Amino acid sequence: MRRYQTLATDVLVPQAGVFGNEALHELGLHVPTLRHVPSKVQPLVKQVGGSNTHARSHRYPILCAFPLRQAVARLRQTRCVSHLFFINPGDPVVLANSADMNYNSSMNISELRSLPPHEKLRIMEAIWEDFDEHLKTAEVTPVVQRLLDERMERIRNKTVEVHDWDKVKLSIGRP
Amino acid sequence: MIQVRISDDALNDLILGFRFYEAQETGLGEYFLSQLRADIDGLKISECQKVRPDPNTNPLDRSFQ
Repeated sequence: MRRYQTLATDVLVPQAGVFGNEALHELGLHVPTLRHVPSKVQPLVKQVGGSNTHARSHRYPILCAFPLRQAVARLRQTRCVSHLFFINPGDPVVLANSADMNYNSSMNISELRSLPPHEKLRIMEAIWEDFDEHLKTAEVTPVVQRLLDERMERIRNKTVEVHDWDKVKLSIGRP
Repeated sequence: MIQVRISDDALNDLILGFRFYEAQETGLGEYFLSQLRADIDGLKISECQKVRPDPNTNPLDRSFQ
C-alpha cells in the first residue's frame, strides 16, 4: 500500500544548525505544517518531542540535520525523500514519502476506499483538524448566509417546526 | 445552562449528513452524529455563543461540513 511511512532505518540525529523555510524551499523541499503530517505519523512526531521551537513561523517543525544537503542527497538516492520532520536537535527524525505527501492528489479514491475504516477515520480526522484552523477564520459565504437568513426567517414566521435539541438528538438516524 | 433548539431545516441537514456518511462506511454516520452531538451540546456549556448566525463565525460544524 502506498502510504506514508516512517523509515526507522533512516532515523537521523540532527546536529547543529537549524534551517528556515527559505533554505528548505531552495532545496526543493516542501515544509509541511504538523497538521499536514498524516495521522499515522503524527503520534511519532509528537513522540519525538516538541515542534515549534525553531520555526521562524513558530508553527512548523523545522528541519535540521546533518549537513542538510548530504541528508537530502542520501534520501533522494533512496527515493524516500522529501518531507522531513526533524524536530529538535537530538531528536530522531520521521520521514514521509514525498509521493504521498499530497494526499488528495496522490492517493486516489479507490485507494482510499480500500483502507480499513479506522485508517479512513484517521485520515478524516487529520483533514478536519486542518479545516478547523481554516474555519476559524473563514467568512460565511454569501450562499450560506442567505440560506441561514432564509431559515431564520422561517423560524420567525413559524413556518418551520423547532425542536428541543435534547429531545431529538438521539432520534437522528433512527428508523 | 441554556436550551438549544433546532429547526426542522437544520435537523434535516443532520439526517442527510448521517445518511451520507453512513453510506460511505457503516458506522461512520454514527461517528458523525456523535461529533455533532458533542459540538452542539458544547454550545450549552459555552453559553451558546455560536447559535446565532454571525458573519464573523462559520456556522458549520468544526469537524464535518
